[in-house]
Amino acid sequence: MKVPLKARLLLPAAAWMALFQLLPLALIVLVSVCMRGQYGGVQWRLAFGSYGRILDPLYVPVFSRSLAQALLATALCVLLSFPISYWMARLEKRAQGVAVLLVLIPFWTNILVRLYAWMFILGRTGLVNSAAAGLGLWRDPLEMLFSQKSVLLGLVYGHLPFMILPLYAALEKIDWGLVDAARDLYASPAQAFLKVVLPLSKPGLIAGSILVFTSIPCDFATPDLLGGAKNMMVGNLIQQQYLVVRDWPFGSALSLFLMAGIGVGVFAYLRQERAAA
Amino acid sequence: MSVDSVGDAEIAKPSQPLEDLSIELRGIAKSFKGVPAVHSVDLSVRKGEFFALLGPSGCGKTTLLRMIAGFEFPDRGEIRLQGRDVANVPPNERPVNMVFQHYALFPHLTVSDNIAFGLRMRRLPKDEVARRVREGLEIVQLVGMEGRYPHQLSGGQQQRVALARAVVNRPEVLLLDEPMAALDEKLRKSMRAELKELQHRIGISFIYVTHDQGEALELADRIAVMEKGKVMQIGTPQEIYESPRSTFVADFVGVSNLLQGKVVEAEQLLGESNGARRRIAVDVEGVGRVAAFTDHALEPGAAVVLSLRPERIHLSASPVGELENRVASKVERAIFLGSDVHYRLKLASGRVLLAQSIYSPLRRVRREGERIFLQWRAEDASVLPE
Repeated sequence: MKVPLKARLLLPAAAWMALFQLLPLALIVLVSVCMRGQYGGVQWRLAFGSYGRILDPLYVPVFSRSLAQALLATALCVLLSFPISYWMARLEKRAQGVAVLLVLIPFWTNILVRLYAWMFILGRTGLVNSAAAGLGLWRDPLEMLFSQKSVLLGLVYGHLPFMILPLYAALEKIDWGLVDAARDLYASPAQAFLKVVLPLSKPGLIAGSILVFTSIPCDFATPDLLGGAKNMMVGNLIQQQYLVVRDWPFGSALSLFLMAGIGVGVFAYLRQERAAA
Repeated sequence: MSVDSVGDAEIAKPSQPLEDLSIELRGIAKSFKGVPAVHSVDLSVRKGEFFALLGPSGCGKTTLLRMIAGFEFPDRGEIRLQGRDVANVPPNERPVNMVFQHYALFPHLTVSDNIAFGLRMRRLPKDEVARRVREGLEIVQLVGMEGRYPHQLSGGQQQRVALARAVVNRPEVLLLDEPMAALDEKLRKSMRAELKELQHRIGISFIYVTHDQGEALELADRIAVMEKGKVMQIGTPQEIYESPRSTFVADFVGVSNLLQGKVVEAEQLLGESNGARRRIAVDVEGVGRVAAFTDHALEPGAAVVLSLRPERIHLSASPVGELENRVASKVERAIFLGSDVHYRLKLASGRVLLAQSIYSPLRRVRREGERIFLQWRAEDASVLPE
């Protein structure tokens, strides 16, 4: 049998995807429509009860909190990334490589370790509070951990590179002669930015926003470590269903619901962007 | 030369009436990180003039243009536009517009939005913007293309959009930074004619940067030849070509035989209206004794370079003739180019000279290896002091 080269080259990737992406996904779908086993696990009988439970008012705050945090964190990432990415894009070519490396270096350390570092920084007896006490700024330690804000901080911190890099890639491609052209055509520096740089950086903004926005609801380590129990997000809820409550069908249903929600959101966003362009 | 001495010189000599000048540069100098890019440049462009800045890459012509546009600020000197010094005014507040080398069209805007950009930035009324955009499209013959994006246009069309985008603002001076460089040879030729015609029609002063001497000769009313940040010579194309004042200009503009030699005789011509004109005899290495005229006060022993254009050399089979200078040679190579024939001619000394003659079917093309005499008049060579 003669298999074309293109197909043969695609085979390993296709096999990988089938084995480690499609198969588990199919399993999740299957589990989500089964019944919960009495002592955890799954009872292989068709039941759609898990989907009904998603709409339980009990979980509404979890979903709305996740959405709000994701939106806020994405917006903050955009605001923080733009100056950094812009600065990187205007560096000399070799310095740009160093800058990209610096952005990537935190990834060499596990996210959990980095989150513990944040706990150490923000905690009651942490770096900030003890430094403030030492400088006489305030005496009673500030309660910074285990709040929405500390979770937001952690989310922005953890996801910033996912915004910086695509935005940098888009800015790096801009022909800076276009800014000269805009300035020559009576645009002030601010107008040149708004009319030329910003529209041309849009592909990077879109890619970065999608990366950040879609991965935040799935994050459970950050809300867990920096937020505590009362700042739970969808990711924590799913993790709980699997590891604590041992209600796999509900956990699976939640996962699929989240996937669908993100998928629809991204699709609608891209469609609207395309219509605007 | 200092800024002050330039200022004095301006006052001392009767200069152009101010209202006839579009732009005037006085003592403009600029360095980048201590490396001088432009040294004390003085030049002025008249209203409606097509002015070319010609020079090899790195000669400072683009830096000069960018200073006129306002993208760079000079370290010293004045840029006078409409009677005021704009040397330190930002680009968006100067009445000049630029056509960029690679056009710099906004890729996210349509043709008409590109053309309207400057007009909208200046907050012109909507109907005025629409009127001028239409006018601009007509000037560059792109009516019907207004809805296209730059990537949907050919190189020539992109260049037209860049032109329209600049001229609709009716600038005092239009700056063009090697606008033909990105076009192919054939298109470049037709765009040259079109550009010249357009400039005539709209009557805006052009400052045109190029490294292509053919382009400068064809298009410009006047040319400033630049080298190493200095203006070497300013003049009409004919002046630059006929009377180069340095070996650099002679070599860069057109093709020239540069003959190094020593003055052996100098005779002041009396009764000439232009005073100090001299007839000199120069001993040129590998060529022999050559007669020439010069306005320079050269004495025997002075080292000079003679610049002799290939088309000034006459070829004849016999050594007799009325032209003062005569050398025997052998045709090394004859290149037939249609309208012209180019010759590489080898002298007895081994030295090679270039000659060029108009092709005519009545005259035969000299064969390679043929013995031939080169002749030229004393006034055909320009004398350049070393």
